[in-house]
Amino acid sequence: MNNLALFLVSAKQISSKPIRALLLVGLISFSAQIHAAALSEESAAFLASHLQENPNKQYQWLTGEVKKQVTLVLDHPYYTLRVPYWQSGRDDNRKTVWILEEIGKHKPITVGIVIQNQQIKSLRILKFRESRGWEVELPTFTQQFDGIALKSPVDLNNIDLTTHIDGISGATLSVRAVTKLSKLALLLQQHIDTKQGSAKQLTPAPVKTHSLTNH
Amino acid sequence: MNKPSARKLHRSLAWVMVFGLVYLTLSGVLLNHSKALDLPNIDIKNPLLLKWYGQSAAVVSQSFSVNQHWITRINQNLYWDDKLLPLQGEIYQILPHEPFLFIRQASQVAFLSSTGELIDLIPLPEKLQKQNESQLFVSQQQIYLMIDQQVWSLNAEYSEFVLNTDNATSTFKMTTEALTNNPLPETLKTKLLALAPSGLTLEKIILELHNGYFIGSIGPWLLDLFALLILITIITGIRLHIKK
Repeated sequence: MNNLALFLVSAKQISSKPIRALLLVGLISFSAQIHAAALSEESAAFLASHLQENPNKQYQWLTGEVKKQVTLVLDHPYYTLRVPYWQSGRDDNRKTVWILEEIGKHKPITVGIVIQNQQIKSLRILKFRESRGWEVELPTFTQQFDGIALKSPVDLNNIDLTTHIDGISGATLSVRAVTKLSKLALLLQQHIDTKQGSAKQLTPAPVKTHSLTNH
Repeated sequence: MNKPSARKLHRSLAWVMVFGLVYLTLSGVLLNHSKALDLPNIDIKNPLLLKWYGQSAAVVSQSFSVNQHWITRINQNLYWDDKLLPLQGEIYQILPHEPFLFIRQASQVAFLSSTGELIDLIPLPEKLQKQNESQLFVSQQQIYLMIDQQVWSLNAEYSEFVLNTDNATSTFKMTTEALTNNPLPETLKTKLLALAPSGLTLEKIILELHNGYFIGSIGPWLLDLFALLILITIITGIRLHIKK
């Protein structure tokens, strides 16, 4: 059985919390190389234009605490349990490319986001499938994200960007989706940087409490 | 036209237009407040209306029993029990491989956890796309996809299928059977059919009633005729007013 299956099977069977946590760390650090053939044309071109070296495709798993935080950012869980990212370069020159998707109104918008030193270096709409709100593809909108980071310290109840993103009338839902993805990429970047030892660890997501009433 | 004739024509036209104007005004007001009234999200499931639009009513096309859960396709949507999966389209094959589940479709293999959460989508190489006769199987804990005596293996990261150079199919021991279609329990079927969107919304019907397309391409022409009648009524009304 490969590593991936082994991790999940073991995690299910082991009741000890520390061992489960260790397994989860192993699961999160699990990474893999990919061939360009598995990517769409737009995504492959975006990767090639931002990462010169042959980048490694790796995965950030959206399980446990990460899943809770992602749900807070998007207002719903991400549609898959793992998210791909590609990295190249070292130290301050290390760039990470995230390719993420979020539904605008009815259909997913695919967005490519390049992050360097926990700031967005470039954001581009790789595939827009909606019939309205295409204006988010315009550079005048996407360039607003250049140099943006998460407000520090990160408040997991209200994750915000350092700069306000101007909306577009008639494209409110698309703007909202792209802004959420920018926050998501920056949040996930903090997780992988923490893992790689180059960022402060995020505090756990707040647990939502529900008051019980007698019926 | 003399005065009695103009008055008669004016009255007859006015009666015809009362109904038309009320109908257009009401549908226009509804469309103006479409979002507030949530019209785009009101699904129409009336079989007659669906038939009128050439759409088929929601039907269970495929259903598979997986470890006391059900994977169902209703029209193009896939469900895990009564939860909508972020997947669409025909299911070619379902292969359980604890603790995962693989759903083979036209151009991808969806990779799910045993609790029905989508882990990832594995794109199929172009040659393997839309090949219903290809077969996904497990041999010695490894996932393979076979077509025309060619065998492709799923890499260790479950991210892509790679062509096997050693294609001796006799060496494979298929250890896991793919699932077959099973009839869906009636309670779940009723629940899913009530949940499934029809694709026809109340907003669309009101819009097409308003612009005339509800009865086809002749509808707008009839509305043009109605507009002409309004003009005639205005003219006859002015004439009657002047000749008072």
